[in-house]
Amino acid sequence: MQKFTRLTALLLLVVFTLAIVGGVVAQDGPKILVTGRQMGPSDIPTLDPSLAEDVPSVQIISELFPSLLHLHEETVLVENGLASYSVSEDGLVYTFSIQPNISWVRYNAESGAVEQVTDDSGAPLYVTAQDFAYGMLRTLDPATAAPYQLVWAPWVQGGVEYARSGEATAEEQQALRDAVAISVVDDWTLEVTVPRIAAPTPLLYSRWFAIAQMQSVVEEFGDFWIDPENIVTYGPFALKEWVRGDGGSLTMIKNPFWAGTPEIPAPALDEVQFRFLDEGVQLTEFEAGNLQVAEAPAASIDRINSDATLSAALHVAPGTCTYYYGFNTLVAPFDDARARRAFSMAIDRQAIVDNVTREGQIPAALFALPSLVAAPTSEQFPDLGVQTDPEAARALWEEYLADVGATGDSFQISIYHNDSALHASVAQAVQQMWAENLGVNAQITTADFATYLDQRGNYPVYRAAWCFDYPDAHNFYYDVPFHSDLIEENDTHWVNEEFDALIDQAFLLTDPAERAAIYAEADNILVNTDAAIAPIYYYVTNDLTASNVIRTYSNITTEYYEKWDLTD
Amino acid sequence: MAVVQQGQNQGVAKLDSRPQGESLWMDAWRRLRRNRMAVLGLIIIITSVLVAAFAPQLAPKAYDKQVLADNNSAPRWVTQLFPSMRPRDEGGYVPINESYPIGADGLGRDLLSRIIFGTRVSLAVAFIGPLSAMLVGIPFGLVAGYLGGRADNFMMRIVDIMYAFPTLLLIILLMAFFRSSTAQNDPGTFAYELGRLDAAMGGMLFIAVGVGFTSWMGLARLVRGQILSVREKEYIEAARSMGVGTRGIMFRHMLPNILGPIVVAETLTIPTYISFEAFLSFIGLGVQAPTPSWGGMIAEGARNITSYPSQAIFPAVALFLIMFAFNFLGDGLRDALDPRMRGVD
Repeated sequence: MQKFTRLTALLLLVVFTLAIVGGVVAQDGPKILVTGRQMGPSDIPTLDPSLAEDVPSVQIISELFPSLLHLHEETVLVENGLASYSVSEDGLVYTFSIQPNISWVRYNAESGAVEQVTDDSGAPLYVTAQDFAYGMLRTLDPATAAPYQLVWAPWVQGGVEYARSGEATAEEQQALRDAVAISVVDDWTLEVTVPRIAAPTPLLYSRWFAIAQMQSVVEEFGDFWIDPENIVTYGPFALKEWVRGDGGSLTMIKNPFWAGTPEIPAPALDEVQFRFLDEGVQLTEFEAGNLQVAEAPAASIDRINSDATLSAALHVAPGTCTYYYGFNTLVAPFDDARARRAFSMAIDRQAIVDNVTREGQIPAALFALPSLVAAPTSEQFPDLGVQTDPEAARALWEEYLADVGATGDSFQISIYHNDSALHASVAQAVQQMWAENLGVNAQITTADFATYLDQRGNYPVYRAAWCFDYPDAHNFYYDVPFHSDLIEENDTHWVNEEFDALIDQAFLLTDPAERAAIYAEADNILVNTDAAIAPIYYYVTNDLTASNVIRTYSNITTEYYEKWDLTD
Repeated sequence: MAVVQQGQNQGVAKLDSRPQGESLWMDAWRRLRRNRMAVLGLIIIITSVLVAAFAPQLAPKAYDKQVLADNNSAPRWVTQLFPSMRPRDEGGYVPINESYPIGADGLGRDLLSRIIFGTRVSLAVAFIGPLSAMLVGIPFGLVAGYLGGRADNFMMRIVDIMYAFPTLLLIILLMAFFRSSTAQNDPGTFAYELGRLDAAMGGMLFIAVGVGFTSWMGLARLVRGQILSVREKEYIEAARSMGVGTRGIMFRHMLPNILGPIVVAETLTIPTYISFEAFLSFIGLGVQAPTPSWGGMIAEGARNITSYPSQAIFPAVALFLIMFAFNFLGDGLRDALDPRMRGVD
């Protein structure tokens, strides 16, 4: 009897093993793509479109909530998204015709399927102009405290007044809310009046902070409305699972109610799983076959290049971000421009890109990414921007020290960065450069991504990167936010009237060359004469892609996974 | 009178002629020497103490000196030891540089020098842990055990409460709290000065505080238990009847008699303290860069373990050796000091 049981168990085991192996080989199951791309090792800070300000959050949100207009990932041009649009003759009124009958959906974990959200009578709910108006106004609402509130506000009439009404009484606020020029014409038509004619305007309506949100769900669940069991979305993918915390993951599942538009097709993939892993771990997982898309870590780039399989899987392209160090201009010694300049000039950017990041990043003398519309470049303006110069840095630093009667040890200087092998390496290299060139011993403090975003304004020096939201230089000077309009969001706490005036002046011009010349001057103030920040390098994106993935290569960091596929 | 004198003299003579007895500690040492693994552990520990003491003389380079251009380079023998690390001149990717005895890390710092200086951090924790445990735990347990009754009850509940926190989690919380509350203060405040002191010690101060804060409870319990068992012994009665004060009884009569178990217990916990430090540094809450710690080096190396396994494995071997040494020494001490083991050899 006992023998028989053992035999049965053994047989069962064999059958199971065969079933599993067979399943993998046959690949009859759903098409699931697993990616670590652009996620980092920490949890995603949020999925709330009004509160997102970072690359990983925006990546997921773009899939769950497509915007009115759509930014094409390769051409970086605006096309129709959920709506087509027309502009009035005076150029100030934008009319959006929203596609009718796009369902609100929610993933049901019990049935394992994406289901339509219905009203009390059981009729499905569709994305309407009201939902867009609500989502837009929620971003502007001072009570939401949206990080992109003041980026978005100047692009709609009455937006700035409403966004800044935090101190006003409830009635005044309501009046200002009503005065915001977002009007619902009918269920499928939304009209927005903009305050002035400016080239980037349509770009703003392709961004995540101006999308539809369902008022009843946001109000019912409060902060928890973004949890998988509560969230309602309408994009090509729906949220299936979100394992929070470091080393967690997020899974999107195909939304069967998304019929597809020419610009945003119905997804070929059934699921996309995003895993939160550091680059080094991503590479290990990629080589083990557990990730189909991974980022190539700087430290292993030599091995990748020397390996036939890995180098074939590697794709390097210009990035969309500038890596920089911000100085807290409220604390000594960084309350003095000479100190800031000295610290910036003491950073050997070339050595960092050659030996630390090592993937073809470009040392940055100016802040704005050279590929943007109206961005000044170092080729055009070789004399502007910050130049690495250890001797001059030392002289400037000593002049400052003599002036305030201090020594290099008088200051507690800590560099703050979010957890990442790369940021840690750059920080240690910079720490060493400051020790060698200035005789300053800096400390390094790290935190997870969400804490870091929240706290970095309190540290003397913080690592940061700015990735463009829309491809115009204005985004790099106004929205970052170094313009004093957005001082609350500015973690350097730096204010410069001359800089503000130049940015305001350039904004009203249309000729890109003319704008670039003014931006060059402003950039020189930002990174050189006043040195609120120390730009370090321009990013490259470096993806490793398994050979069975059919994919796009985005020029806007965000990928549209509905355009991807897996072959057998 | 004569008889009495004679008797006294006889007594003295008898005492002197008694065979020379062995003290407890000599006896233990004799037994310890017979335990090969314990001796090996002791040799490793003594060697690493010497390495830590003479680190500046032994290290071929400065531990924080970066030569960025030499990043990830290794001498040829390392690439032969790890065949996956193919050298650049053989179509691989590892730059060969014989000036680094066991290779350089991702920022072009000498690995061997960093491992040598890392000994200091691990050993410091190995001594700070037991030290703080003894400074707090022994008096606490002594007082609780000796006084008994309500005081004992009250003090032991404090220990229970402290025990209720998962130790590692408590240390992580403490470290995160210390670091964030001292990193961003104005000069002159207490937190600011504390932060500077910590920075000057390469981050060791908070590790010491964190470990000290969580290390004493076990010892306090042990001491209390031991005190309870010796409290009613005849020699304590005798001391009390001779008018010895409370403090005298506790420290001169009780403590020496329970020292054996304390030494054994603390030696056996040292690896735990070392692994705490390594773990904290591994998750980025330990010593501050550029101070080298084995845990931190393993963390850095582990990120690129597929490309440069040597960068993680060498510090891991160092950590393994010291943990091994303290564990075996602790085992040996237990065997040597535990009275129940007496005569077994």
